[in-house]
Amino acid sequence: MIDPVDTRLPVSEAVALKVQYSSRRRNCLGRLTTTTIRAVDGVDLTIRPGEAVALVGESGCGKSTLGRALLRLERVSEGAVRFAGSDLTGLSEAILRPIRRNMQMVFQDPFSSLNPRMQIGETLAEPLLVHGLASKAEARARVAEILQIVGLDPAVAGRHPHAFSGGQRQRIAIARAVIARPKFVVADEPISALDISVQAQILDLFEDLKERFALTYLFISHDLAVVRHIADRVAVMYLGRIVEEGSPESVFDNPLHPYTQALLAAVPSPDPVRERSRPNPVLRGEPPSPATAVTGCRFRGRCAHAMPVCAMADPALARGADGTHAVACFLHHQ
Amino acid sequence: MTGFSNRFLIGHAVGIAGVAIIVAAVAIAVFAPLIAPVPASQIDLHARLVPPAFVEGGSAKHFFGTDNLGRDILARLIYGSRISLAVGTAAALLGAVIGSLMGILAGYFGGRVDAAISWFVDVQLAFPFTLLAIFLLGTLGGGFYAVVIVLALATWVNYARVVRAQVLTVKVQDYVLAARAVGVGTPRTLWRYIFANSTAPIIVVASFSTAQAILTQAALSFLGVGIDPSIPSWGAMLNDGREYLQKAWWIATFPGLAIALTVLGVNLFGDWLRDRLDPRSAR
Repeated sequence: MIDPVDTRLPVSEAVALKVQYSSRRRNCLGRLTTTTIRAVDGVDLTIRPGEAVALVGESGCGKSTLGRALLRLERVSEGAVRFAGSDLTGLSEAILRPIRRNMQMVFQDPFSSLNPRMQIGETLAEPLLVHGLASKAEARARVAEILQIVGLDPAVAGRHPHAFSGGQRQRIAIARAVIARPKFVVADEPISALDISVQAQILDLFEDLKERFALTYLFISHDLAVVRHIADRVAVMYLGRIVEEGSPESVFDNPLHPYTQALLAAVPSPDPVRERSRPNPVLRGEPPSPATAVTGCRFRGRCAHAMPVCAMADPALARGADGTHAVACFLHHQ
Repeated sequence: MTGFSNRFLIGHAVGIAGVAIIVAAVAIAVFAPLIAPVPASQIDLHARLVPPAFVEGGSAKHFFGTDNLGRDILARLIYGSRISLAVGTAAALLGAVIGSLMGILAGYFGGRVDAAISWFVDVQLAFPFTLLAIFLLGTLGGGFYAVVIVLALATWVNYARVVRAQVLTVKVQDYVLAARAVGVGTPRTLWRYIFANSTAPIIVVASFSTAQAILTQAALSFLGVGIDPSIPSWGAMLNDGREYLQKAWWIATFPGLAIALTVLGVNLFGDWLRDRLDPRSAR
């Protein structure tokens, strides 16, 4: 799937990746039943150096799980996860630990992602110290430097997280993710828990850091306007599978998959005339539970264009003539 | 703002009161020979069951009265603090260390580790403790250290259960996953992330386990398997006074008050310590 033009080694790569959770419980008759949740159900994704890839989709579609699986914070059920060319799939936590300095994560909720019992200076120094990248004195200087970069006063290093607002905490969490100069950062809805007024600042910070540290990142979001603003490439996820992928311009201005079209149609328009003519509701029904096995196309139950072939075969993600815009839909497969 | 600082000061005062009680009790234990009016085991058969000085028929010679052998209650209380405090603190601390460690391992690692530790906890809770204590002390022989170990074995399950429950809620927090994402190793994660966020229930259990240990030590002495009952301790005095409760209430009442006061001090101190250790509360 690697673009023939770009021969650089991908930073992060998922190959036919599946992440499943099994839970065994007794049903009402006392029989043991196994439920398998297919959170990520066959994803191919390649993230190249310097790219900001956005992953969009509704809640529960598996985008967070995919993000964590790329960092091997999830167990891989099938397929493979690679980082800078090396296979992480079966590695134990002990072997992964030294690799982790190169790949970091920013969590959605800044109120739960910082240890309340540690001063933020300690939290920020931790990536440097556990990987032996700096002495304690050097770490202190690096912490002051990174606090300045993310727009906080270095004097606050001695405080605990409770003393900060949500936006400030997210700056701290971002600082922790970049202080060891990682190659790859997964940001899991890093602004959706924040006030609107703070969201823009945090986005600007991401842009700034991307330039400053030549970061490659996966930005998980359900806010399409945000994605358009920051992403170099967009992947649309539905029920554990990527259904459309391409540049923000091609995906947003020329959405091919009916699901992407529905998502875009659901974005409220600031223009009242256009807003009134927006179809409502745009998408009927709920996505099927990831615990049920789907045959054929997973979107067909909610799709306005469902055809007989959709019930028989599962459409693969296939690239169009331009070689970048890909879609998993029989409407566009020849 | 004033409400906030008032609450803070009241909390402070309560903590200082707790510390004051504990310091006083420890001072009494350490300086017992200097404070006690008479030796604790001095028997005066002419002055049996003398009531306290402030009660009719009491004598100024025996401020808290005497017991059935004419021994001075005040002197016995002062000397008794030595065994009671030492046993209570040592057993509660040892139990806390063992129980917290087991609770953290069970809660964090889950699976077989959890099954094994929880099995031990359940077995011990199901097994009558007195029987176990008699068996262990019978094999180990009595004495201070044996009693402390046995009492720690009695209390560690309390810690293990609450710590395990706390760890189950702490370990799914994002900050623990964040630690893993950063590359923090397991020992450091357990110490700085899991343990550091599970201390509140440990302190609460420690304050009531201290009281439990003081009382159980008395019961063991009473059964003749613990510390030699002729060495005064508050628990032993409580037991001695029980049969005279109708005739001479003071024998059991004063050691009971001493235990209650000490436990109160430990509780006040524990509450204050828990709040102080929580960075979210006022500093």
